[in-house]
Amino acid sequence: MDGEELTEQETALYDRQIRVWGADAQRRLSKSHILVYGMKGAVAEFCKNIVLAGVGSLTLVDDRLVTEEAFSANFLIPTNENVYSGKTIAEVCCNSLKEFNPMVRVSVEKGDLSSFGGEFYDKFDVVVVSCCSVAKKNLINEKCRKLSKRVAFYTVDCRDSCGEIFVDLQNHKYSKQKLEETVECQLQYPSFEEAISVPWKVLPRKTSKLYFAMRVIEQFEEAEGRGVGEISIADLPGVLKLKKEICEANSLNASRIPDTLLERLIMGAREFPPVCAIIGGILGQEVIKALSGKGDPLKNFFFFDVMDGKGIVEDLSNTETGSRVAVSRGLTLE
Amino acid sequence: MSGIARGRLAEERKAWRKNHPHGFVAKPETLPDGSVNLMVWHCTIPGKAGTDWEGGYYPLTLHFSEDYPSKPPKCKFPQGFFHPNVYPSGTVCLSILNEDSGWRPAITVKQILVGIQDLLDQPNPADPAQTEGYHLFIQDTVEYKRRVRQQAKQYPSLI
Amino acid sequence: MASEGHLSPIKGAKVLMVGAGGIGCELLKTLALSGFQDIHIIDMDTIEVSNLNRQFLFRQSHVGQSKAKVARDAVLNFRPGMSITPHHANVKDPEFNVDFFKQFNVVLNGLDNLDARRHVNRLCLAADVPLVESGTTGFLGQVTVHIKGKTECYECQPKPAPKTYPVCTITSTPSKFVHCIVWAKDLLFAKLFGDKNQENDLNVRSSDATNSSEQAKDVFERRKDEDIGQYGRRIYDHVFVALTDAFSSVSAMASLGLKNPQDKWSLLESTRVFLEALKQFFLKREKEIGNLSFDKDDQLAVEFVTAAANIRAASFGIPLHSLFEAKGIAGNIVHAVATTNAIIAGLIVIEAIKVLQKDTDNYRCGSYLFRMTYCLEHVSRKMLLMPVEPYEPNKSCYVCSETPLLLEINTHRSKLRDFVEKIVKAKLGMNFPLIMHGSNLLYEVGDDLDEDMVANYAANLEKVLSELPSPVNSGTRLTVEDLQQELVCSINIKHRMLLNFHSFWGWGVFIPLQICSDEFDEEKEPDGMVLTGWTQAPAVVGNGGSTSNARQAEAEKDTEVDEISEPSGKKRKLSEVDIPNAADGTGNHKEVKELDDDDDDEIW
Repeated sequence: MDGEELTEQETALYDRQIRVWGADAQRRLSKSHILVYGMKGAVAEFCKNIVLAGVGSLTLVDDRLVTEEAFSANFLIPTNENVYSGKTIAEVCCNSLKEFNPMVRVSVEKGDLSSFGGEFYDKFDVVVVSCCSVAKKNLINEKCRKLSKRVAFYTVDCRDSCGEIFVDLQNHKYSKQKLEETVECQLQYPSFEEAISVPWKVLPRKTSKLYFAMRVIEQFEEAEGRGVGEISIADLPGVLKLKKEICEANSLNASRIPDTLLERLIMGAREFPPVCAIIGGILGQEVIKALSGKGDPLKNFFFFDVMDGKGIVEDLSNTETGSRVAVSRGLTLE
Repeated sequence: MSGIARGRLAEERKAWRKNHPHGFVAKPETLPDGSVNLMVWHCTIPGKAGTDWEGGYYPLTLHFSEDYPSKPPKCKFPQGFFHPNVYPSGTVCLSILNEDSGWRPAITVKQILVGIQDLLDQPNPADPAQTEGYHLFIQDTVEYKRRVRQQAKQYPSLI
Repeated sequence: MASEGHLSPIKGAKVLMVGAGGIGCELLKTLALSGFQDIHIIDMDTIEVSNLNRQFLFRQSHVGQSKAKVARDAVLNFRPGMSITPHHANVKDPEFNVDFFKQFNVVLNGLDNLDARRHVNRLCLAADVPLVESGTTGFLGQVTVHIKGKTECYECQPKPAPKTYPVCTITSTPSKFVHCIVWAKDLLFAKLFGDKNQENDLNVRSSDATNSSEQAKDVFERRKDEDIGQYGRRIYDHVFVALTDAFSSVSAMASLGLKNPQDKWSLLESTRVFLEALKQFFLKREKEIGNLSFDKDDQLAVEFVTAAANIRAASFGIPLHSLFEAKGIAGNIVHAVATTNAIIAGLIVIEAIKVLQKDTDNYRCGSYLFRMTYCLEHVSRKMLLMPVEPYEPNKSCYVCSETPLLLEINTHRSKLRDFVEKIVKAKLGMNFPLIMHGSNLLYEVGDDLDEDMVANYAANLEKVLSELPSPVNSGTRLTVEDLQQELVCSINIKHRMLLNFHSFWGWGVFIPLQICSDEFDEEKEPDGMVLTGWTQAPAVVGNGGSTSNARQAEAEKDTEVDEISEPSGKKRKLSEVDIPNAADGTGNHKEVKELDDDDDDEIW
């Protein structure tokens, strides 16, 4: 793991994937360190994928205690109460993940991620957050961006049978194969705050509805002081009202965000395991691409909705200065 | 020839090959020129254990017609076969083989052969087909049984 | 979908999974989390180390054990209440017949070879059970849904067969490294270490004139008490075009010291490995010689084949390759990662749930249309996951429709054996055929047949079609069925003569040229038979060459994913959506009408 060459053990174990991304990429993976926050279904899938891929280390943060709801879409949590009783989700998942690949260091970090400083984040190459408010996402994203070393930042959220991934690779240099030749490329990524600040009225007509719907619900939860996912069907009228206000403020036709979609996202308290697998898989691929520096990484949002079956990539990185997304702040809702 | 008969016979052939009752034989006839004819099957019915028919492996020929499975096959033991319900020609008289009586197209070759095996030790007194077998069965049980056992020795296993 | 109370169709469903490997592990896990309660799994394989990078239900300690059984135990850990029945068996075994398949509500395939997929397809059609098919290779993947009568069956679009190479390319005119691998593996390795009674096309150019009069067989035999090093050099001389530079500096006792399988060997290094490997076989594994067949997990065999292929490549000006690369080609290794399998598994479960909820009248279930979904390596039209509407069944599909095929064949020259091997087995994919002409059985095969019948059929194989006991001529219709697969095909025979000068004189009969019908094109129709109503897709290069001899049966490890390209033949689609060429994300595609969202009420 620390030497330059892959060991014989690694070569045997990783044979099939080395044939996909090469020995060089495998070496880089083995030196990479990942931080993950919020161990829900899609993140559990991601962790499985990244551990199997053979990263250097994986650090889990989730201080919630294990409840029955936790293992509905998370296969890392055994159902034996003797095993999980009194432990946090991160602790239980850590034990399961270690078994997938003994060559990866899996550990748990406790505490509030927003309070950790730059020197903490500097230990990692990739940070993945889930179940986070917008404020927290922005905070952590900024801490990553302030470091001199590039720390890739991802958010992932699944609601009902939909999923969203956000990618911030800052300034990313990579290579790719094009017709037998290797081509060097470079991409510039906006932060999460910059991305969601792109005015809605300049976005293309076919921009994914899910993007808008997620932002409306995000804002509702923030305005109401709710935790992520603390929302129910009773909130629907409030959400629809908020949607109308935001659309008006942004000169967006309200029909661009179907009410039925908002309803689905609100009601979907339980995660849908197939979507967790898909989102966790896409995220895993993306992180591997970012760490290995090979292949076009997606920029900068990914959406999946079971209804239309499409896995869509949206590039929301038009960083015009001046106009920003108008949000409804400080309004009292019924 | 009828596609229906051919298709059903092929099905029967496959089903038999995959699974058939122990001791029974059923296969389409192979002619000297090498052709294998699905319309005529050469079968062997073993006498049931614990009966006077035991030890006998009785040859039976099934003749299928173009109208199969609407019509049943004609089933024949060798000429002169001893059994109350078998004609001198060897043709078997059994209700399930009678299109006006018990025959249904769904009846399989397996069911026919097992039905005939049952008939061996359980003749039907209401359907006399030959004088000798019938009369002995009704009037002289001892001699009937002796004749049956003698016939069983006539048809030993060919393996 | 998650909130729509779909639970009871799932809870009561009985699901069959075929394959417990890369896709299988991910699929079983996702099915379990999604609330499925009753699953059967069929997989005949045992666990290997190279599986562990993605088949996450398995551990190092499980190597050698049954995949189906270990997968089941692993899943019961986090869903103890489930009923999971493992079958450590081949799905082609007779116990998995139509009645077995009928007990399931849906069948989910996670297989890695075409033969098994076709077999399952045919059984699902016979049992009228919906089938969800899938495949992955590297970052590419796809999921397709097959419902009898409503969508295409798995075989409606022809699938590329494993690549084979013409014999002369392998023996005389190689131009690619894979040709050298096939030569080294199927000819040289087989000749030296395999069954000596097997026919072998090894065409040797001897550099030593004095040996030219010897029988080829004698040359390869190691003479009694012949020094192994000397034997090795003699073989080397005989088999490779003289490469004096490399040869002269070899030290027979030099150790190899070649540690890294990723390094490309030089000609000198390859030569040393060749000789050393040959020596090792004779010193340490003499007992096995004569019985060996190439196994990609046999390190010494891989070294030998790599070395031999490299030396041959050098003599033909083809670039040399590393052991790692050579092993991939020789072993037909499919490259694979966990993420693609996880994504595909998620998509499979989504389609499976739709199948269980389906409206019996049409194949729409509520607002959820069945889909085929392609997982792309590069974004195409803003998508990484691309759904496509299923196609209607292909009316000329010989598997799911009843249209007869047409076979043009010279009934006076072609034997029944040719028909059986090249058409019935090779093209129709039937492994245990019954061939009938009307009510006459021309051929059957199986362990259950008695000796007389076997002999009879063996005799039939050697007869030309027109001379069979039930003669087959132009206009004859044959029926071909398979014992296990429940598939029946009708084939109309049309006689065509194959004419060339040799045939003229061979027959000793004068035939006026005007009567001659079209000739079989020797290049395009080398077998002298043309089957229509069944389209063969162009063979694509998989991860490795297959046999050099079309007659040798070889395990078919094809690429796990079907080529994501234009399906051949007419498309009868429900909309105009086209599938782009996924390999480079661009490619030719017509103007596309995007699949509309069902709740799209856009006004602008």
